[in-house]
Amino acid sequence: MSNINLNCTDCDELFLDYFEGDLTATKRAQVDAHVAQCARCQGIVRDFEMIQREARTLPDIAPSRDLWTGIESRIQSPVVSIAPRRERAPMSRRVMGLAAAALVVVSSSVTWLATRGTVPENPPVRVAEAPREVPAEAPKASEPVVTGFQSETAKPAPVQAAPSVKPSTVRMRAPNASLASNKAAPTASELALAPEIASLQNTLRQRRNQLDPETVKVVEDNLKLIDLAVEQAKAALRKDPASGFLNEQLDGALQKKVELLRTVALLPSRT
Amino acid sequence: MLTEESAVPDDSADVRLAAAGDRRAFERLYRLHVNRVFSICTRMCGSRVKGEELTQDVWVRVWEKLPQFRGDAQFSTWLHRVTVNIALTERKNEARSRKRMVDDESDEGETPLQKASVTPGYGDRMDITAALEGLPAGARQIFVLHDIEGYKHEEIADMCGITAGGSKAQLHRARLLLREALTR
Repeated sequence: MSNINLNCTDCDELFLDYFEGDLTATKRAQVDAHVAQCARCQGIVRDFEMIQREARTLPDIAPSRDLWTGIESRIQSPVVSIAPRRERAPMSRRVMGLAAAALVVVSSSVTWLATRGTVPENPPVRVAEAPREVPAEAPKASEPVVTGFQSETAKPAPVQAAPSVKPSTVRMRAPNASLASNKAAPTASELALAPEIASLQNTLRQRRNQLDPETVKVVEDNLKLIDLAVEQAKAALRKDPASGFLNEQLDGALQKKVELLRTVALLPSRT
Repeated sequence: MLTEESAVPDDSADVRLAAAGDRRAFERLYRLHVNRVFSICTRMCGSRVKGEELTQDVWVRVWEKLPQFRGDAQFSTWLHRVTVNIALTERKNEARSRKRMVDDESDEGETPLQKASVTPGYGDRMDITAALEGLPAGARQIFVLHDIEGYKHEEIADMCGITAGGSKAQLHRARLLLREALTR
Protein backbone atom coordinates (compact mmCIF):
# COMPACT_ATOMS: atom_id res chain seq x y z
CA MET A 1 0.00 0.00 0.00
CA SER A 2 1.35 3.39 -0.98
CA ASN A 3 1.79 6.21 1.57
CA ILE A 4 1.75 8.91 -1.04
CA ASN A 5 -0.96 11.53 -0.43
CA LEU A 6 -2.15 13.19 -3.58
CA ASN A 7 -3.43 16.75 -3.77
CA CYS A 8 -6.08 18.29 -6.04
CA THR A 9 -3.58 19.26 -8.72
CA ASP A 10 -2.23 15.71 -8.81
CA CYS A 11 -5.76 14.35 -9.15
CA ASP A 12 -6.63 16.80 -11.91
CA GLU A 13 -3.78 15.34 -13.94
CA LEU A 14 -4.84 11.80 -13.18
CA PHE A 15 -8.59 12.13 -13.63
CA LEU A 16 -8.42 11.50 -17.39
CA ASP A 17 -6.85 8.08 -16.91
CA TYR A 18 -8.90 7.52 -13.75
CA PHE A 19 -12.19 7.77 -15.60
CA GLU A 20 -10.86 5.73 -18.51
CA GLY A 21 -9.76 2.93 -16.20
CA ASP A 22 -6.15 3.29 -17.30
CA LEU A 23 -4.56 3.82 -13.90
CA THR A 24 -2.64 1.12 -12.12
CA ALA A 25 -4.31 -0.33 -9.06
CA THR A 26 -1.89 1.58 -6.83
CA LYS A 27 -2.46 4.91 -8.48
CA ARG A 28 -6.23 4.40 -8.47
CA ALA A 29 -6.16 3.70 -4.77
CA GLN A 30 -4.23 6.91 -4.17
CA VAL A 31 -6.81 8.93 -6.10
CA ASP A 32 -9.64 7.22 -4.23
CA ALA A 33 -7.97 8.05 -0.97
CA HIS A 34 -7.76 11.76 -1.86
CA VAL A 35 -11.30 11.91 -3.20
CA ALA A 36 -12.61 10.43 0.02
CA GLN A 37 -11.20 13.42 1.90
CA CYS A 38 -11.74 16.24 -0.66
CA ALA A 39 -15.18 17.77 -1.35
CA ARG A 40 -13.95 19.49 -4.52
CA CYS A 41 -12.64 16.28 -6.08
CA GLN A 42 -15.68 14.35 -4.81
CA GLY A 43 -17.81 16.82 -6.74
CA ILE A 44 -15.80 16.25 -9.91
CA VAL A 45 -16.13 12.48 -9.67
CA ARG A 46 -19.84 12.71 -8.84
CA ASP A 47 -20.56 15.13 -11.69
CA PHE A 48 -18.57 13.13 -14.24
CA GLU A 49 -20.40 9.97 -13.30
CA MET A 50 -23.76 11.74 -13.54
CA ILE A 51 -22.90 13.22 -16.97
CA GLN A 52 -22.05 9.76 -18.23
CA ARG A 53 -25.26 8.28 -16.82
CA GLU A 54 -27.39 11.05 -18.33
CA ALA A 55 -25.63 10.82 -21.68
CA ARG A 56 -26.31 7.10 -21.94
CA THR A 57 -30.03 7.58 -21.39
CA LEU A 58 -30.64 10.70 -23.45
CA PRO A 59 -33.94 10.42 -25.36
CA ASP A 60 -34.11 10.96 -29.08
CA ILE A 61 -35.13 14.38 -30.28
CA ALA A 62 -37.47 15.08 -33.17
CA PRO A 63 -36.99 17.59 -35.96
CA SER A 64 -39.11 20.71 -35.74
CA ARG A 65 -40.78 19.84 -39.05
CA ASP A 66 -41.44 16.90 -41.32
CA LEU A 67 -38.33 16.46 -43.46
CA TRP A 68 -39.82 13.83 -45.74
CA THR A 69 -40.95 16.21 -48.50
CA GLY A 70 -37.43 17.48 -49.04
CA ILE A 71 -36.02 13.98 -48.97
CA GLU A 72 -38.62 12.65 -51.37
CA SER A 73 -37.96 15.38 -53.91
CA ARG A 74 -34.26 14.56 -53.86
CA ILE A 75 -34.63 10.82 -54.25
CA GLN A 76 -37.04 11.31 -57.15
CA SER A 77 -34.25 12.94 -59.09
CA PRO A 78 -32.20 10.49 -61.11
CA VAL A 79 -29.43 9.12 -58.97
CA VAL A 80 -26.34 7.76 -60.59
CA SER A 81 -25.08 4.94 -58.44
CA ILE A 82 -21.32 4.62 -58.38
CA ALA A 83 -21.51 1.09 -57.09
CA PRO A 84 -22.94 -1.82 -59.01
CA ARG A 85 -26.20 -3.17 -57.70
CA ARG A 86 -26.01 -6.48 -55.93
CA GLU A 87 -28.68 -8.08 -58.09
CA ARG A 88 -28.72 -7.01 -61.67
CA ALA A 89 -30.95 -8.39 -64.39
CA PRO A 90 -29.20 -8.56 -67.77
CA MET A 91 -30.42 -5.96 -70.24
CA SER A 92 -32.57 -7.57 -72.86
CA ARG A 93 -30.88 -7.46 -76.25
CA ARG A 94 -34.24 -6.84 -77.78
CA VAL A 95 -34.75 -3.80 -75.55
CA MET A 96 -31.34 -2.49 -76.53
CA GLY A 97 -32.12 -3.09 -80.18
CA LEU A 98 -35.39 -1.24 -79.94
CA ALA A 99 -33.63 1.59 -78.17
CA ALA A 100 -31.13 1.82 -81.01
CA ALA A 101 -34.00 1.85 -83.49
CA ALA A 102 -35.59 4.71 -81.62
CA LEU A 103 -32.39 6.65 -81.96
CA VAL A 104 -32.39 5.98 -85.68
CA VAL A 105 -35.95 7.31 -85.89
CA VAL A 106 -34.95 10.48 -84.07
CA SER A 107 -31.83 11.04 -86.06
CA SER A 108 -33.51 10.44 -89.42
CA SER A 109 -36.29 12.87 -88.58
CA VAL A 110 -33.83 15.50 -87.54
CA THR A 111 -31.80 14.90 -90.69
CA TRP A 112 -34.86 15.25 -92.89
CA LEU A 113 -35.89 18.44 -91.17
CA ALA A 114 -32.46 19.88 -91.64
CA THR A 115 -32.12 18.96 -95.31
CA ARG A 116 -35.66 19.33 -96.67
CA GLY A 117 -36.42 21.83 -99.44
CA THR A 118 -38.94 24.67 -99.37
CA VAL A 119 -42.56 23.60 -99.17
CA PRO A 120 -44.50 25.02 -102.19
CA GLU A 121 -46.93 27.79 -101.29
CA ASN A 122 -49.78 26.35 -103.30
CA PRO A 123 -49.76 22.60 -102.97
CA PRO A 124 -52.43 20.94 -105.08
CA VAL A 125 -53.61 18.72 -102.27
CA ARG A 126 -53.48 18.99 -98.54
CA VAL A 127 -54.70 16.58 -95.99
CA ALA A 128 -56.64 18.41 -93.37
CA GLU A 129 -57.37 16.89 -90.02
CA ALA A 130 -59.94 18.49 -87.86
CA PRO A 131 -58.69 18.87 -84.33
CA ARG A 132 -60.57 16.77 -81.89
CA GLU A 133 -60.62 16.51 -78.16
CA VAL A 134 -59.21 13.31 -76.78
CA PRO A 135 -59.62 12.58 -73.08
CA ALA A 136 -56.29 12.47 -71.34
CA GLU A 137 -55.53 10.78 -68.03
CA ALA A 138 -53.61 12.91 -65.57
CA PRO A 139 -50.31 11.22 -64.67
CA LYS A 140 -49.97 9.88 -61.15
CA ALA A 141 -48.06 12.23 -58.90
CA SER A 142 -45.56 9.60 -57.90
CA GLU A 143 -44.91 8.26 -61.36
CA PRO A 144 -42.74 9.90 -63.96
CA VAL A 145 -44.48 11.29 -66.98
CA VAL A 146 -43.33 9.24 -69.88
CA THR A 147 -45.35 10.68 -72.66
CA GLY A 148 -45.62 13.40 -75.16
CA PHE A 149 -48.58 11.66 -76.75
CA GLN A 150 -51.70 13.55 -75.79
CA SER A 151 -54.17 10.78 -76.25
CA GLU A 152 -52.48 8.16 -74.11
CA THR A 153 -55.06 7.20 -71.58
CA ALA A 154 -55.94 4.29 -69.44
CA LYS A 155 -59.14 4.00 -71.38
CA PRO A 156 -59.16 3.47 -75.10
CA ALA A 157 -59.73 6.59 -77.12
CA PRO A 158 -63.10 6.42 -78.85
CA VAL A 159 -61.77 6.17 -82.37
CA GLN A 160 -65.11 5.21 -83.81
CA ALA A 161 -66.67 8.35 -82.42
CA ALA A 162 -64.11 10.61 -84.08
CA PRO A 163 -65.97 13.16 -86.11
CA SER A 164 -64.72 13.61 -89.64
CA VAL A 165 -61.24 12.31 -89.00
CA LYS A 166 -60.31 9.82 -91.67
CA PRO A 167 -56.77 9.08 -92.69
CA SER A 168 -57.57 9.10 -96.38
CA THR A 169 -59.65 12.27 -96.39
CA VAL A 170 -58.39 14.82 -98.83
CA ARG A 171 -59.82 18.26 -98.96
CA MET A 172 -58.92 21.25 -101.02
CA ARG A 173 -57.94 24.12 -98.86
CA ALA A 174 -57.13 27.68 -99.63
CA PRO A 175 -53.47 28.18 -100.33
CA ASN A 176 -51.36 29.25 -97.42
CA ALA A 177 -54.11 28.30 -95.02
CA SER A 178 -52.47 27.94 -91.74
CA LEU A 179 -52.40 24.45 -90.42
CA ALA A 180 -50.28 25.31 -87.49
CA SER A 181 -51.75 24.93 -84.09
CA ASN A 182 -50.01 25.03 -80.84
CA LYS A 183 -51.30 21.58 -79.96
CA ALA A 184 -50.71 18.81 -82.51
CA ALA A 185 -53.83 16.87 -83.40
CA PRO A 186 -53.42 13.09 -83.25
CA THR A 187 -52.96 11.38 -86.57
CA ALA A 188 -54.83 8.32 -87.72
CA SER A 189 -51.91 6.08 -86.72
CA GLU A 190 -51.85 7.58 -83.25
CA LEU A 191 -55.55 7.07 -82.89
CA ALA A 192 -55.30 3.47 -84.03
CA LEU A 193 -52.44 2.62 -81.68
CA ALA A 194 -53.58 4.76 -78.77
CA PRO A 195 -55.49 2.05 -76.91
CA GLU A 196 -52.65 -0.45 -77.00
CA ILE A 197 -50.03 2.17 -76.10
CA ALA A 198 -52.14 3.33 -73.17
CA SER A 199 -52.64 -0.21 -71.94
CA LEU A 200 -48.95 -1.07 -72.24
CA GLN A 201 -47.87 2.11 -70.49
CA ASN A 202 -50.24 1.29 -67.68
CA THR A 203 -48.57 -2.11 -67.45
CA LEU A 204 -45.16 -0.45 -67.32
CA ARG A 205 -46.30 1.78 -64.49
CA GLN A 206 -47.64 -1.18 -62.54
CA ARG A 207 -44.50 -3.26 -63.09
CA ARG A 208 -42.03 -0.50 -62.51
CA ASN A 209 -41.03 -1.65 -59.08
CA GLN A 210 -40.67 -5.25 -60.25
CA LEU A 211 -38.13 -4.46 -62.92
CA ASP A 212 -34.48 -3.64 -62.66
CA PRO A 213 -34.33 0.13 -62.14
CA GLU A 214 -31.60 0.56 -64.72
CA THR A 215 -33.72 -1.23 -67.31
CA VAL A 216 -36.66 0.96 -66.40
CA LYS A 217 -34.53 4.06 -66.81
CA VAL A 218 -33.26 2.96 -70.22
CA VAL A 219 -36.79 2.16 -71.34
CA GLU A 220 -38.14 5.47 -70.13
CA ASP A 221 -35.29 7.40 -71.71
CA ASN A 222 -35.93 5.69 -75.02
CA LEU A 223 -39.65 6.24 -74.80
CA LYS A 224 -38.86 9.92 -74.44
CA LEU A 225 -36.69 9.72 -77.54
CA ILE A 226 -39.48 8.04 -79.47
CA ASP A 227 -41.99 10.61 -78.27
CA LEU A 228 -39.61 13.33 -79.35
CA ALA A 229 -39.34 11.71 -82.79
CA VAL A 230 -43.13 11.53 -82.96
CA GLU A 231 -43.51 15.19 -82.11
CA GLN A 232 -40.82 16.23 -84.55
CA ALA A 233 -42.46 14.22 -87.32
CA LYS A 234 -45.84 15.70 -86.48
CA ALA A 235 -44.44 19.22 -86.42
CA ALA A 236 -42.90 18.63 -89.83
CA LEU A 237 -46.15 17.11 -91.09
CA ARG A 238 -48.04 20.22 -90.11
CA LYS A 239 -45.91 22.12 -92.60
CA ASP A 240 -45.88 19.38 -95.22
CA PRO A 241 -48.84 17.11 -94.63
CA ALA A 242 -48.44 15.33 -97.96
CA SER A 243 -45.00 14.01 -97.14
CA GLY A 244 -44.98 10.25 -97.45
CA PHE A 245 -41.60 10.10 -95.75
CA LEU A 246 -42.81 11.93 -92.67
CA ASN A 247 -45.91 9.83 -92.44
CA GLU A 248 -43.77 6.71 -92.61
CA GLN A 249 -41.45 8.10 -89.96
CA LEU A 250 -44.37 8.83 -87.70
CA ASP A 251 -45.90 5.40 -88.20
CA GLY A 252 -42.52 3.79 -87.66
CA ALA A 253 -41.92 5.66 -84.42
CA LEU A 254 -45.32 4.70 -83.09
CA GLN A 255 -44.77 1.07 -84.03
CA LYS A 256 -41.39 1.13 -82.30
CA LYS A 257 -43.03 2.53 -79.20
CA VAL A 258 -45.57 -0.28 -79.20
CA GLU A 259 -42.87 -2.91 -79.71
CA LEU A 260 -40.74 -1.48 -76.92
CA LEU A 261 -43.66 -1.42 -74.52
CA ARG A 262 -44.67 -4.95 -75.47
CA THR A 263 -41.16 -6.18 -74.84
CA VAL A 264 -41.03 -4.47 -71.44
CA ALA A 265 -44.38 -5.94 -70.48
CA LEU A 266 -42.92 -9.40 -71.03
CA LEU A 267 -39.64 -8.84 -69.20
CA PRO A 268 -39.15 -11.07 -66.15
CA SER A 269 -39.37 -9.45 -62.73
CA ARG A 270 -36.26 -9.04 -60.66
CA THR A 271 -35.90 -11.67 -57.94
CA MET B 1 -21.22 0.26 -29.24
CA LEU B 2 -24.69 0.73 -27.81
CA THR B 3 -27.38 -0.69 -30.05
CA GLU B 4 -31.11 -0.42 -30.02
CA GLU B 5 -32.07 -3.62 -31.78
CA SER B 6 -34.30 -4.75 -28.95
CA ALA B 7 -36.30 -1.51 -29.02
CA VAL B 8 -36.81 -1.25 -32.78
CA PRO B 9 -39.75 -2.97 -34.46
CA ASP B 10 -39.01 -5.46 -37.19
CA ASP B 11 -38.48 -3.39 -40.31
CA SER B 12 -36.85 -6.06 -42.43
CA ALA B 13 -39.77 -6.30 -44.85
CA ASP B 14 -39.73 -2.58 -45.50
CA VAL B 15 -35.96 -2.67 -45.89
CA ARG B 16 -36.29 -5.26 -48.65
CA LEU B 17 -39.05 -3.30 -50.36
CA ALA B 18 -37.21 -0.02 -50.11
CA ALA B 19 -34.04 -1.60 -51.48
CA ALA B 20 -36.09 -2.62 -54.51
CA GLY B 21 -37.21 0.95 -55.05
CA ASP B 22 -40.45 1.10 -53.07
CA ARG B 23 -40.64 4.69 -51.88
CA ARG B 24 -43.59 4.10 -49.59
CA ALA B 25 -41.63 1.45 -47.75
CA PHE B 26 -38.68 3.82 -47.59
CA GLU B 27 -40.91 6.49 -46.11
CA ARG B 28 -42.01 4.05 -43.42
CA LEU B 29 -38.37 3.39 -42.58
CA TYR B 30 -37.79 7.12 -42.47
CA ARG B 31 -40.65 7.70 -40.04
CA LEU B 32 -39.48 4.86 -37.85
CA HIS B 33 -35.87 6.00 -37.57
CA VAL B 34 -35.82 9.74 -38.26
CA ASN B 35 -35.62 10.85 -34.65
CA ARG B 36 -32.61 8.65 -34.01
CA VAL B 37 -30.84 10.03 -37.06
CA PHE B 38 -31.79 13.60 -36.23
CA SER B 39 -30.56 13.21 -32.67
CA ILE B 40 -27.13 12.03 -33.78
CA CYS B 41 -26.80 14.71 -36.44
CA THR B 42 -27.95 17.55 -34.19
CA ARG B 43 -25.81 16.56 -31.24
CA MET B 44 -22.72 16.04 -33.35
CA CYS B 45 -23.00 19.34 -35.20
CA GLY B 46 -24.46 21.31 -32.31
CA SER B 47 -27.27 22.89 -34.30
CA ARG B 48 -30.84 21.84 -34.92
CA VAL B 49 -30.91 23.64 -38.27
CA LYS B 50 -27.77 21.91 -39.43
CA GLY B 51 -29.08 18.71 -37.92
CA GLU B 52 -32.14 18.86 -40.17
CA GLU B 53 -29.96 19.39 -43.24
CA LEU B 54 -27.73 16.48 -42.33
CA THR B 55 -30.72 14.29 -41.57
CA GLN B 56 -31.99 14.80 -45.11
CA ASP B 57 -28.51 14.07 -46.47
CA VAL B 58 -28.43 10.85 -44.48
CA TRP B 59 -31.72 9.60 -45.88
CA VAL B 60 -30.80 10.47 -49.44
CA ARG B 61 -27.54 8.56 -48.99
CA VAL B 62 -29.40 5.64 -47.44
CA TRP B 63 -31.73 5.54 -50.45
CA GLU B 64 -28.72 5.42 -52.77
CA LYS B 65 -26.88 2.75 -50.83
CA LEU B 66 -29.74 0.61 -49.60
CA PRO B 67 -29.39 -1.90 -52.45
CA GLN B 68 -25.89 -2.60 -51.13
CA PHE B 69 -27.14 -3.35 -47.62
CA ARG B 70 -26.57 -7.06 -47.19
CA GLY B 71 -28.79 -7.55 -44.16
CA ASP B 72 -26.09 -9.26 -42.13
CA ALA B 73 -26.63 -6.64 -39.43
CA GLN B 74 -29.71 -4.83 -38.26
CA PHE B 75 -30.79 -2.03 -40.54
CA SER B 76 -30.72 0.34 -37.54
CA THR B 77 -27.06 -0.50 -36.93
CA TRP B 78 -26.16 0.15 -40.55
CA LEU B 79 -28.21 3.35 -40.57
CA HIS B 80 -26.46 4.48 -37.41
CA ARG B 81 -23.08 4.04 -39.04
CA VAL B 82 -24.11 5.91 -42.19
CA THR B 83 -25.39 8.75 -40.02
CA VAL B 84 -22.20 9.02 -38.02
CA ASN B 85 -20.08 8.94 -41.17
CA ILE B 86 -22.05 11.73 -42.76
CA ALA B 87 -21.89 13.85 -39.60
CA LEU B 88 -18.13 13.31 -39.41
CA THR B 89 -17.67 14.12 -43.08
CA GLU B 90 -19.67 17.29 -42.68
CA ARG B 91 -17.46 18.41 -39.85
CA LYS B 92 -14.32 17.65 -41.84
CA ASN B 93 -15.68 19.67 -44.73
CA GLU B 94 -16.48 22.56 -42.43
CA ALA B 95 -13.05 22.41 -40.86
CA ARG B 96 -11.46 22.33 -44.30
CA SER B 97 -13.45 25.28 -45.47
CA ARG B 98 -12.47 27.26 -42.44
CA LYS B 99 -8.84 26.14 -42.91
CA ARG B 100 -8.72 24.58 -39.47
CA MET B 101 -6.94 21.48 -38.30
CA VAL B 102 -9.23 18.46 -37.95
CA ASP B 103 -7.66 17.57 -34.61
CA ASP B 104 -9.18 20.78 -33.27
CA GLU B 105 -6.01 22.30 -31.83
CA SER B 106 -7.24 25.66 -33.08
CA ASP B 107 -10.29 25.45 -30.82
CA GLU B 108 -8.12 26.06 -27.80
CA GLY B 109 -8.61 29.78 -28.09
CA GLU B 110 -12.42 29.63 -28.24
CA THR B 111 -14.60 30.45 -25.31
CA PRO B 112 -17.27 27.87 -25.98
CA LEU B 113 -19.04 28.29 -22.68
CA GLN B 114 -19.96 31.82 -23.63
CA LYS B 115 -21.71 30.51 -26.72
CA ALA B 116 -24.17 28.42 -24.79
CA SER B 117 -27.63 29.85 -25.11
CA VAL B 118 -29.00 27.82 -22.23
CA THR B 119 -27.57 27.50 -18.77
CA PRO B 120 -29.74 24.94 -17.11
CA GLY B 121 -29.88 24.49 -13.39
CA TYR B 122 -27.83 21.66 -12.06
CA GLY B 123 -30.52 20.41 -9.75
CA ASP B 124 -32.85 19.73 -12.67
CA ARG B 125 -32.37 17.05 -15.26
CA MET B 126 -29.26 17.95 -17.16
CA ASP B 127 -29.95 19.51 -20.54
CA ILE B 128 -26.88 17.99 -22.08
CA THR B 129 -28.12 18.49 -25.64
CA ALA B 130 -28.37 22.23 -25.10
CA ALA B 131 -25.02 22.35 -23.33
CA LEU B 132 -23.42 20.45 -26.22
CA GLU B 133 -24.04 23.40 -28.50
CA GLY B 134 -21.49 25.41 -26.56
CA LEU B 135 -18.70 22.89 -26.85
CA PRO B 136 -15.88 23.09 -29.36
CA ALA B 137 -16.72 20.97 -32.36
CA GLY B 138 -14.05 18.32 -31.81
CA ALA B 139 -14.80 17.81 -28.13
CA ARG B 140 -18.52 17.72 -28.83
CA GLN B 141 -18.07 15.14 -31.54
CA ILE B 142 -16.02 12.82 -29.31
CA PHE B 143 -18.44 13.19 -26.40
CA VAL B 144 -21.41 12.33 -28.58
CA LEU B 145 -19.68 9.33 -30.10
CA HIS B 146 -18.35 7.97 -26.80
CA ASP B 147 -20.71 8.89 -23.98
CA ILE B 148 -23.97 9.12 -25.94
CA GLU B 149 -23.56 6.69 -28.82
CA GLY B 150 -21.28 4.24 -27.03
CA TYR B 151 -18.35 3.96 -29.41
CA LYS B 152 -15.00 2.89 -27.99
CA HIS B 153 -11.98 5.16 -28.27
CA GLU B 154 -10.33 2.84 -30.78
CA GLU B 155 -13.41 3.01 -33.00
CA ILE B 156 -13.57 6.78 -32.66
CA ALA B 157 -9.90 7.07 -33.50
CA ASP B 158 -10.50 5.06 -36.65
CA MET B 159 -13.45 7.11 -37.72
CA CYS B 160 -11.97 10.49 -36.93
CA GLY B 161 -8.41 9.89 -38.01
CA ILE B 162 -6.98 10.57 -34.57
CA THR B 163 -5.29 8.47 -31.91
CA ALA B 164 -7.13 6.72 -29.10
CA GLY B 165 -5.21 8.92 -26.71
CA GLY B 166 -6.39 11.99 -28.56
CA SER B 167 -9.95 10.74 -28.31
CA LYS B 168 -9.59 10.28 -24.53
CA ALA B 169 -8.16 13.75 -24.13
CA GLN B 170 -10.99 15.33 -26.12
CA LEU B 171 -13.56 13.40 -24.12
CA HIS B 172 -12.11 14.53 -20.83
CA ARG B 173 -12.10 18.10 -22.07
CA ALA B 174 -15.72 17.79 -23.15
CA ARG B 175 -16.80 16.45 -19.78
CA LEU B 176 -14.99 19.23 -17.95
CA LEU B 177 -16.62 21.87 -20.14
CA LEU B 178 -20.03 20.29 -19.81
CA ARG B 179 -19.62 20.17 -16.06
CA GLU B 180 -18.79 23.85 -16.03
CA ALA B 181 -21.78 24.67 -18.24
CA LEU B 182 -24.19 22.56 -16.24
CA THR B 183 -23.13 23.73 -12.80
CA ARG B 184 -23.15 27.47 -13.45
